[in-house]
Amino acid sequence: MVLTVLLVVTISFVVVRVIPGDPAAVIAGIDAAPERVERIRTRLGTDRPIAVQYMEWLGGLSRGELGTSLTRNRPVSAMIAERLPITATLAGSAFVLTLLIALPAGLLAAIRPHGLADRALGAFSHAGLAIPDFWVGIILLLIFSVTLRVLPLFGATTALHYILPAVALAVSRAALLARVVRASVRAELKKRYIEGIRARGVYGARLLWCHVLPNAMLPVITVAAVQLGYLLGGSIVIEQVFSMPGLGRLILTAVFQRDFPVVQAGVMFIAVCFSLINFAADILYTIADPRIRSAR
Amino acid sequence: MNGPALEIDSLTLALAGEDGSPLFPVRSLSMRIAPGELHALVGESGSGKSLTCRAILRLGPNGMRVRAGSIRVGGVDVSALSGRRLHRFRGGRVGVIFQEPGAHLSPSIRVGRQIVEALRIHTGCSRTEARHKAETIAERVGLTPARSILRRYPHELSGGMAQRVAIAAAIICSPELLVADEPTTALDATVQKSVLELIDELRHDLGLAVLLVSHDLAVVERYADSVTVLYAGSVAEQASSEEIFTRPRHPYTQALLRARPQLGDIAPVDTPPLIIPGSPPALNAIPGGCPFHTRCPAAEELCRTVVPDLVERGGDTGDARVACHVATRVAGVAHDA
Repeated sequence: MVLTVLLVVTISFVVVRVIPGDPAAVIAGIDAAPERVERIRTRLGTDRPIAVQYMEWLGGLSRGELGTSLTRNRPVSAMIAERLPITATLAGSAFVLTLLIALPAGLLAAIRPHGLADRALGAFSHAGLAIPDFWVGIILLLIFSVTLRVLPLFGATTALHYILPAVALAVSRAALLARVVRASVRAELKKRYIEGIRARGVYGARLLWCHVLPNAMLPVITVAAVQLGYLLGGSIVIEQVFSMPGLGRLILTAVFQRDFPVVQAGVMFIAVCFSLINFAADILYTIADPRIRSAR
Repeated sequence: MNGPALEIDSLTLALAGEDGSPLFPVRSLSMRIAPGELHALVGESGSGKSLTCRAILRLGPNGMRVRAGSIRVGGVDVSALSGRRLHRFRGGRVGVIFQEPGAHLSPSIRVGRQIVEALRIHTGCSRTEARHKAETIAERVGLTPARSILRRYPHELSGGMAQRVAIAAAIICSPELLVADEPTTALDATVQKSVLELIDELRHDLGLAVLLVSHDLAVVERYADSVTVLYAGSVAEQASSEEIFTRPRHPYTQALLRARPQLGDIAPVDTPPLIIPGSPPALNAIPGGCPFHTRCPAAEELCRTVVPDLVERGGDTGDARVACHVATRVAGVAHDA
């Protein structure tokens, strides 16, 4: 896991420096004199060889320092810390909403293949997969904020601000996850142990919740973990559409301004999130399926 | 207890065929099993044995229905059950064990919980009471040390242990009938014997009626009180185990008995085990007349056109019936003489 993070961080370090663009030039402005740009470059330290910068940055990391923003002259850790709650809240609520939609929808569709619920889910998930989340966001904004005026338009100051972006994110994710739930539950329902359980008189909701769902969870956990990872990395486009000052927007702006330390820290943060979530998913596997536990 | 535990009365099952026309995998099947009796249902694969078991439990396959006749367990008409009462019936009044015990247990739940699940949902007994009962019954079926085995998952059990778990789960609610659908076919020989001994013990001790589906005639001869021989969905012969094995009347029963491997001192050395020529008919091509006439060495003109009735064949012990024109006539002659 540490290795993964280090690899991702190193790649991001190299890439942001290889792509054309100079933070000094951005800070100085288009018409600045070359000497002024040079002075800024020296102050930022970006005139030194990449290897030196890399070692210095790694040294900082080992002391828990993420560096200082080139454009705003503030510690990167403070910038992330102030954006994180917004992204975490949005990601968390979108994720919970995704599960709340996908699990029941997938189950209902699986119980009666080609039934009403199944066809409804088919339509929903095709639409949800085909329509990008930002477009769903824009439509939601138009309906609830512009026409009906029941929900706020932009920003992230109250809980109400999170409703529309979370729904927009959840719709697309649930579209995929519900299909995974459906396929996995269907596969379980065809297995012979279902017959064994039914022969003992177990039926209905108990059959589904106590027997089928735990066995059908593995693929669902895998997909849900990846989805949560992406959500925590900041939903760049959705944050843009709803003008939410979250992590995604922080990283996006930093990329435009060639604010290397912020980009690196952002990428590293996402990589760490992904690794942690997948680690958690591995633990969940063993809880969901005792066969994996004893295989170790 | 009075009356039979299982009473099947001229049962005909219907399935939808591929082209939509109905198929009748089981026709006019009648049988009775008294409490404590072990009745064996014998026949080649496709003869309708497993479908009969499923019909007793009302457990699929999709599209199968009772076309005629009735199934009663402890006097209760199975086809009249619905909803909650049907679920209570399964696992409550009838227990069932299958051919592959491991595959029929829920993979991610400890076996202890699975054993008492029926008890918990049907009687709503408390958790501690259920645990106590689980330990008692586990020891009864030979799962020792009970405490540690009950905490295992199905994949941690051997085939024999899994079948004992399945038996424990099947009888936890003290059912009247145990349906055992080839319970030992997937087990190796020594385990097979111990599982059958267990079933035999339980039916004597608990007065449990057992319907044993098997194609192992050695097992049937040793454990069964009475036998139904099915051929292509209809009863060829039905009698006490002793009658069937000492005086088989139906040519199919005779052929089955000849076809099993024999020890040298039982079979004359110069007669090799016989194979029944041909194979059982497909469901959509059951021949008219006696279904066995295409493979029967004694078949006559009558057999090709008229379905033989299942008639009293005259036996030394209890009821004995056979559905064969030839055997009936020979028996009739014997009686006259």
